Amino acid sequence: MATASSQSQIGYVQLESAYGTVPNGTGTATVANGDAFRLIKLVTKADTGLIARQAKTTTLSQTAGVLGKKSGTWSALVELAGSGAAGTAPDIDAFLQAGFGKAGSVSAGVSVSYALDDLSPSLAIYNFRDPSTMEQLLALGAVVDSMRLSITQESSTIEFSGPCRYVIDHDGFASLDATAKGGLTSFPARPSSPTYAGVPALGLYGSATLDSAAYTTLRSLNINVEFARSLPSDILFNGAYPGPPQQVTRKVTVDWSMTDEDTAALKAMKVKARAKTGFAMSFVIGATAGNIWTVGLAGCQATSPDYDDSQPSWVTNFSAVANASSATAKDEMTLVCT
Amino acid sequence: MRYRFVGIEAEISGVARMDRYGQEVELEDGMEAEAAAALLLPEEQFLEIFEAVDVEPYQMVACHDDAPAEFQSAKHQASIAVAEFKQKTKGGR
Repeated sequence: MATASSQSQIGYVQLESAYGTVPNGTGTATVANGDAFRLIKLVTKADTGLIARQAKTTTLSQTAGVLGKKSGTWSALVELAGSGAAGTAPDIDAFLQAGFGKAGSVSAGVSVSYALDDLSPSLAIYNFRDPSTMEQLLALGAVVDSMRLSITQESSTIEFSGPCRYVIDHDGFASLDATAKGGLTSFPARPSSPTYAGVPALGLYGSATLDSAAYTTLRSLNINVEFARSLPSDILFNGAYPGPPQQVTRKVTVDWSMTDEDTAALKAMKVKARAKTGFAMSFVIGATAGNIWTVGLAGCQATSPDYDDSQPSWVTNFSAVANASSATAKDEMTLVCT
Repeated sequence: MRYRFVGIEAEISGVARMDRYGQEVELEDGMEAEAAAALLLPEEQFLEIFEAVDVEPYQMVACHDDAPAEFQSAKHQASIAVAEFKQKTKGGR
């Protein structure tokens, strides 16, 4: 019998070209070493429903139920790390594409820019453990419903999560139906030499520009995007698995705290916050080319500030919702890696 | 096949780890996709780009900001080249 260290876990991710179909060549998965991403935490979980029998019997004992709907959930917590070469996509590119809704725009040798779109690309997410005799998992038809960036001085992370069509396992593969197999004829073997590039960008370096004023006084920063993507599971005669992705209005929010000060710029921003007047914000995280992340937020309507006296200096806390600039725009958030 | 590293830090697990700009790495044939994903450029291409530039003083990425314009220009070319190499090999993605 073997056991596995909880610190030995290897993730791979690929964009699916069709929802629920694992990228493959004649049934063999095309997952490769270059699809690896370095993870802090990866969870993939299958859910299978149990439908209780309603029919009466001659006793009051419960009788066995029936296998019902099948679905899954997943989440991946990773470091915010650029590739290390400006204009080359990061290892987490597939997650970002699936979150933002389309591929990043590449400026050769300069940057990769992610902008929002109303599409819902799906992912195949591999959750491997060593040794290979342990149960191995694969989430297919995975969509990004939520993305959260958390920036501190010494740690910058990004967490993606959402529903998936199903999570299949190595040991039970032979008994799966065709939908769950996602086009595969066998469970994929783990590529033997996962390849990673980049180091995490740190909040020690960077800048914040809020309502056109630059600040070096931020204490915390979290940016949260609820993409509002789901997989419908309420359709008759659609089988046990959820249908293709659907999406409603997304919501981009940001909360931050900063040292309070008596500058005209901060006072003006507080006035705007109370009046719900929109303003732009940008945050630059990191300072090394190939690993500098710039988050741009437009039309931010902030809450009234509140104050925290738990620090030696007064701290003021804000949260805001970012908004598109027009009824036809999708520009409330951009993420650029340079 | 010989390669040179043009990133900050990368790893082909169990095969090679890179943390110096311009670091030399030898990989077996057939590992082009892994090389590209780890920001390795074929050595011949690297030497062509950096023909007139001394890379040695700039192995640590932290000092690149102070590097002369010819190094910055070559680094920019190398970044473009490795992105193209990755695209060509698909780098697994």
